[in-house]
Amino acid sequence: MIATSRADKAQRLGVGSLSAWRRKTGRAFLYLFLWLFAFIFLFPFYTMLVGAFMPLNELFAFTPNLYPAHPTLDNFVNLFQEFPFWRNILNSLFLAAGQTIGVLFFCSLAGFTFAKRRFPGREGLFVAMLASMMIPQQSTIIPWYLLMARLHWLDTFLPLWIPWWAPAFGIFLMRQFIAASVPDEILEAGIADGCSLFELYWRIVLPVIVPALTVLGILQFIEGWNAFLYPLLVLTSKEMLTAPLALAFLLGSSLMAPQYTWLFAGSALATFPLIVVYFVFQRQLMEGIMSGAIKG
Amino acid sequence: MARVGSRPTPTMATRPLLPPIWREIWRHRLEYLFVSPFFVIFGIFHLYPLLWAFYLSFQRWSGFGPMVFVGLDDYRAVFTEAQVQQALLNTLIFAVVLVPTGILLSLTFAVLLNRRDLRGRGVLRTIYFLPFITSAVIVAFVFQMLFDNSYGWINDLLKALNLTPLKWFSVGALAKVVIVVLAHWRGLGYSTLIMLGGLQGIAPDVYEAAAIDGAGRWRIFWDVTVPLMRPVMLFVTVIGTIGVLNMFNEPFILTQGGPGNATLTLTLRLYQLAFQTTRYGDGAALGFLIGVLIVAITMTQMRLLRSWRQ
Repeated sequence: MIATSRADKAQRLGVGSLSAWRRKTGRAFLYLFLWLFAFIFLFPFYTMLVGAFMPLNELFAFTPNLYPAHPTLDNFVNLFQEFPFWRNILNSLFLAAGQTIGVLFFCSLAGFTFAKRRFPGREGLFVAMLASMMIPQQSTIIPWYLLMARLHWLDTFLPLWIPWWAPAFGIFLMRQFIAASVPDEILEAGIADGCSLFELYWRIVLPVIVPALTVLGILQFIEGWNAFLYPLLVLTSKEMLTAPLALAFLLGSSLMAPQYTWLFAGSALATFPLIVVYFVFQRQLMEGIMSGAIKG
Repeated sequence: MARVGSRPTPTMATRPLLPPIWREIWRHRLEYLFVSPFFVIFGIFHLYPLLWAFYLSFQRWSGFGPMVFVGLDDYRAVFTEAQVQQALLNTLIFAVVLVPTGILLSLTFAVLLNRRDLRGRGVLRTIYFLPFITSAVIVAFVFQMLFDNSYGWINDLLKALNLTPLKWFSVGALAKVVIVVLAHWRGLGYSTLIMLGGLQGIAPDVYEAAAIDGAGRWRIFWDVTVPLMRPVMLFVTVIGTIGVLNMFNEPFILTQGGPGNATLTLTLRLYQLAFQTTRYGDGAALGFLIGVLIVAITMTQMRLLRSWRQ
């Protein structure tokens, strides 16, 4: 960067080819730097993918193969013998979808009410809700687990859905977005048409806030799909495990060297759906996070 | 369902004894219903466990049999435990290393990826953000293989470059390095995006004015970008610090806290105390101490953020 700024000045002063050369090397370094990191960010995905189709001895060969010399599907076969892995992936989907739907519904409903309705104690309740974000999860995790045991919710998805359905942060985001993007006029028009409060929310507000719902939904879905600590506490039977959890159990249960190629086969299967989601919603997701930063 | 427009209803007239404020509240019962899920869920699944944890942190209990009230013994036990002290030190080291380097790298990435004359900007942004969607657990498998002491590809690369292969998972400092690399690999894309958002919130005429004044790129970066980005940088600091204080998945899979507790984090120690040795009282006390630490650090940083905004 120093080189380019000097080059700028040099060009203004009319120094010819030397500054052009400097500018070019500056740009070359810029691209080298950025693509080097791009390579670093991509390489583990590549490792996971080729490892999934390699025999273990090839992955750990003295001079390793960077691509499978003898591609095999054995890793997948072995993984599926060890775990009902389709079921595990389906569980991840089930967990993430169940979390996401609840979060979207309860956050937008409360967000709408806080943004557009006046009622006694509104400000106090809103502040109390924000204050709740200060409670770190570490402080509550043991009794939370004991509570789930008492409710006989262990080894079900209920502990991973219901307690997480109304996060304060999501309600806050929805309130901000609805206050800024839903005009009062269309709500008044709805009231004049005789809509009930729920109809106002369902028919008028929801269609307007689809962009915000998309961002919140994808973030929640990714979080739910990748959730680890809480599922680790409550899920125990092979049929109930989520994909990351099944793989962690596989790693933990291996007596000898871990079967990385099996793990990679499972990892690739568990990561692929998220990559698809990412590429479909990339633009909304990135813009959502970037615009959040300006407000934050 | 009650119509919104025609609120003052005949039922009100039949309850003349209610004071006006209760009438107001009854009239808005639907609003309370709509915001109630948060309060019900929070009360049952977060506040009640919090109070329970507070009670538990003064007891000795392993899940069975009667609890024994032990006063402050759990806190004392946790404070003086070597593993907890080591975990606190490790967590602080991770925070001190990860947060500033994260700020530096993500701000650099953001400034470069924000350049209009950069070709392939969209592709690069997509690649940089891609690791964010991965599960820390799944990435930890990959990193465990890549950094494996004897067969890892990183050591193969070092050998190919005529360098000494390293015992990544046998030396405490090196194991910390692997955790730092993994955390950055997953997290940098997100903070870069937040920084990019901040950069795009800076009005272009600020740059134009600086350019007219004859400031070079480097000067503009230090005298314009960095001061204007301070709130965003502090925001990234706050969420980054909370992230480090919550760190669990990476050491749990990658090192189980080893070698010799070198990568043990506070949350991992809490998990071990509570769910591997079922020392629920000690675990609850440690949970409270972590909570106080997180709140104290976050509040300090937020206060800084507010004073910088003005």
